[in-house]
Amino acid sequence: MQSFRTQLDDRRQVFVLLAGEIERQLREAYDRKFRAGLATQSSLADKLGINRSAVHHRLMGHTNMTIETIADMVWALDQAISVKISDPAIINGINHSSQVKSLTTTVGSSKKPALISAIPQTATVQKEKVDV
Amino acid sequence: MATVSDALDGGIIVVFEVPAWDSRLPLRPLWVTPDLLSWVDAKPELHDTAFAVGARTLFEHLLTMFCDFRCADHCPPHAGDLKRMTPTKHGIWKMHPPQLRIYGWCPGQHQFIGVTAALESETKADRKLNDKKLNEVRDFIKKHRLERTVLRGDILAVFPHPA
Repeated sequence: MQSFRTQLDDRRQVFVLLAGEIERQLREAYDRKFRAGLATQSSLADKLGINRSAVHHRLMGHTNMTIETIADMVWALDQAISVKISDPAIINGINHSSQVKSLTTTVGSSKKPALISAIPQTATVQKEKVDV
Repeated sequence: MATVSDALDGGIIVVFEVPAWDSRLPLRPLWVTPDLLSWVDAKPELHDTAFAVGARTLFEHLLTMFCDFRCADHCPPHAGDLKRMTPTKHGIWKMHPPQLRIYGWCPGQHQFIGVTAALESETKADRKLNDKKLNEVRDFIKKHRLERTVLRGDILAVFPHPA
């Protein structure tokens, strides 16, 4: 096992992780819509009143999106949003509780807790949920 | 003929390790050559904020893509992330992180071995560079007798959608 010798400091790790997670979830939401024939980059661009290339750049991580831009993308994709900022120490402390096991499936490893939790969708929710 | 395990045992390729700060569990293998790791660490453009895209350096984008390749539910994480190089009969693929090209091959479904890399700008400046990189991967495969590990086919054959 090997990785790059170059290491990111803690501050960059949080930014890279957060930006990557948001973009990945937006891409997955878009892919679901696209495969279902419910959205294209052009249709999203029309809905948002921007160029198609701007939508492409947002999905591909070529822009540093503001919170407003992220919200726009979530809205255009008919998604819901869920934000969770947590204290790793507190999550580790409650990790053994059966109440939270389903929310922290990857936290129990030697790795650090997930920055962004994966909250399962419920069948009663009308809109698809995007955790940001 | 050698196998991927032989190449791993011989240190010809190494498993790309997901950094500890990414808490996701790896779902699929990604191997790289030690030379590729060294290239990434040493290439100044990858770490220079003057070349940053979306407030992230090219290195940070590459790291994100490698981690997503290993850990994301869907693979490739985005349709444009992996492209089969022409002529397609050689089974050589390239990965497209922002402003970068990573060249390699797929030894199995949802698997990738990265051999060499280039900046996108270098491939624009030298129109033959993509072909040179393709041949570099082919030479690597041949040198280490890994021909039988090359999985051929289009994106749906190599990265099929889950049923």
